[in-house]
Amino acid sequence: MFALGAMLVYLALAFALGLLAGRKRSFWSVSEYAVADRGLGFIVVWFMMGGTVFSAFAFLGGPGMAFSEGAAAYFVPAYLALGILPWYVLGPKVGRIGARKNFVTLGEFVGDRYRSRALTVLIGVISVLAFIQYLTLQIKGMAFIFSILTEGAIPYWFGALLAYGIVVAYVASSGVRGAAWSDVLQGALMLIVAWAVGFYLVYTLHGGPSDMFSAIASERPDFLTIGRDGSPMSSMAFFTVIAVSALGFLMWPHLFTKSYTTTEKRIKLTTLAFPLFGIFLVPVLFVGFAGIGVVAPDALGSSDELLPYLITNELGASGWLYGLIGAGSLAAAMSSSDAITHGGSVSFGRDICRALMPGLSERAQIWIMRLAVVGIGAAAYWLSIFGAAGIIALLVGAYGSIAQFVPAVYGALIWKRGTAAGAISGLVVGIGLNYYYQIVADATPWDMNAGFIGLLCNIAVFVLVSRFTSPVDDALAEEYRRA
Amino acid sequence: MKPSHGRRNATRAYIVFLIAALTLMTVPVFTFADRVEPLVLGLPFNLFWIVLVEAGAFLAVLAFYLFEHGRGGDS
Repeated sequence: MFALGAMLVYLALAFALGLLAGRKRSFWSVSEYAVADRGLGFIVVWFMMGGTVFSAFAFLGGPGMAFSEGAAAYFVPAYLALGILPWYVLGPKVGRIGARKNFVTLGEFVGDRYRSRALTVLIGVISVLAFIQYLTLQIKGMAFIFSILTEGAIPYWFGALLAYGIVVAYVASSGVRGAAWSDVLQGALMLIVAWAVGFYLVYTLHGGPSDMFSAIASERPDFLTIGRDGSPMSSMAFFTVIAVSALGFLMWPHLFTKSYTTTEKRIKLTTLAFPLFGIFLVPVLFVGFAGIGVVAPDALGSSDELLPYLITNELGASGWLYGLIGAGSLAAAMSSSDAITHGGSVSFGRDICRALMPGLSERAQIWIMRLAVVGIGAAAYWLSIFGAAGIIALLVGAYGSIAQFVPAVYGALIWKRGTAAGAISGLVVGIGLNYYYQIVADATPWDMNAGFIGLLCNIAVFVLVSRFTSPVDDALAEEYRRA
Repeated sequence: MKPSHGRRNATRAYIVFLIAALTLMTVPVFTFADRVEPLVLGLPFNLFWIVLVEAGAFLAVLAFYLFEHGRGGDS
């Protein structure tokens, strides 16, 4: 079977590359494992950042969103570009402080500035939980691709185990370098596949993008706009979700810590690429729009199944296409999983274990991190096979809480007066509100994004409580502000 | 290490650019571009607008980079 063969060849390549990347590097160094001794090259950082953000969401969730919610999916290319742009300013500052103080995580950065170990642990726990949630969705994506494209020959549980097992193995052995080098292969592959499939579907099913969009617009006039009566998304919802992403995207600890892996020039050059990444994503949305009028909405169990459904039902069984799409979407899911698994293990080792037990030796930390890769991997695997939730809800749910790190992190860089009590109480209020509006309440005031409401209140509480508590040493605060 | 005067100005200008990019892609500017007709390069106008702003953002970041690090620059 060609499809299976192509996917297996790809898996073998990714595995070999990931393992080789860590060769001749110190196996016992935390700095090497976590941030590659702060010396990754530009191309590698570029693909690592790109591959990491271009996840299973792009292949399954993005098209699904375009199919079911039309113009609301425009937020995907917009937030990708805007989410990374602040790195140009933020990254070099964080990188300078990190190199001076030998940090490898976001929790250490914030904990040191506010002189609070509790803050480090709190951030560590939230990060690890969010990482597990995020991972579950990547693993589901991999399992799903395997099971559909091999027509059930590879069962759901085994596909996930195979693809994710490889990720766990190369991350545990080669650390960030393993993740980075396999992302170069994965990134190149999925970009080629995304474009090929997007344009192929549009031209076969509709004769071209102009004809396709004209047909959709005449059928449902407001489906392709934001904020009209019949539009799938209000202007407020569109603005707030993009604003939260623009501020909060870099708060994902696996992205934040990339500031420690390289130099200022390379950070700036990497940022340069992200508006282009946003444009690269547009043909992926074509897949979703191509399904409109072709696939009946009730034919799908969930809109995430659109791409596999289109391939199996509309294009006929073409072996090379199956294999290509299979390998491409596995690449998307795996390149995110490796960075997230790695980030989770580092957060667990440094923000939780080392913060609670400061005397841990470097060798003990390395063991904790490498074992955490397996532990976090097993937890996420178990949840994805036995738990159940829609892909997008899961991503957005974990995402809202992560964005709540914004006041503490940006506060460290611009405001001398911020205190630990302020940061912690803001964080707690922000996360509480985010969960309330996402899980308990049916609607939010003015249709604002739940994370955005949390962030507004978080900032207010952070500023207010900081005013009434005593600040940290002036020299320390200045060091962060002037970095 | 120590930021020269020119560098600090660039940071401030960059923050202005970030806010501009956000307003161009969401409210208020996006509201005026938010329509399907005319189709440009096969894309609905609002989607084309987002692509256009991203292309512009690429050029803007490139300009910032060349300004700060272009002629040899510090590392």
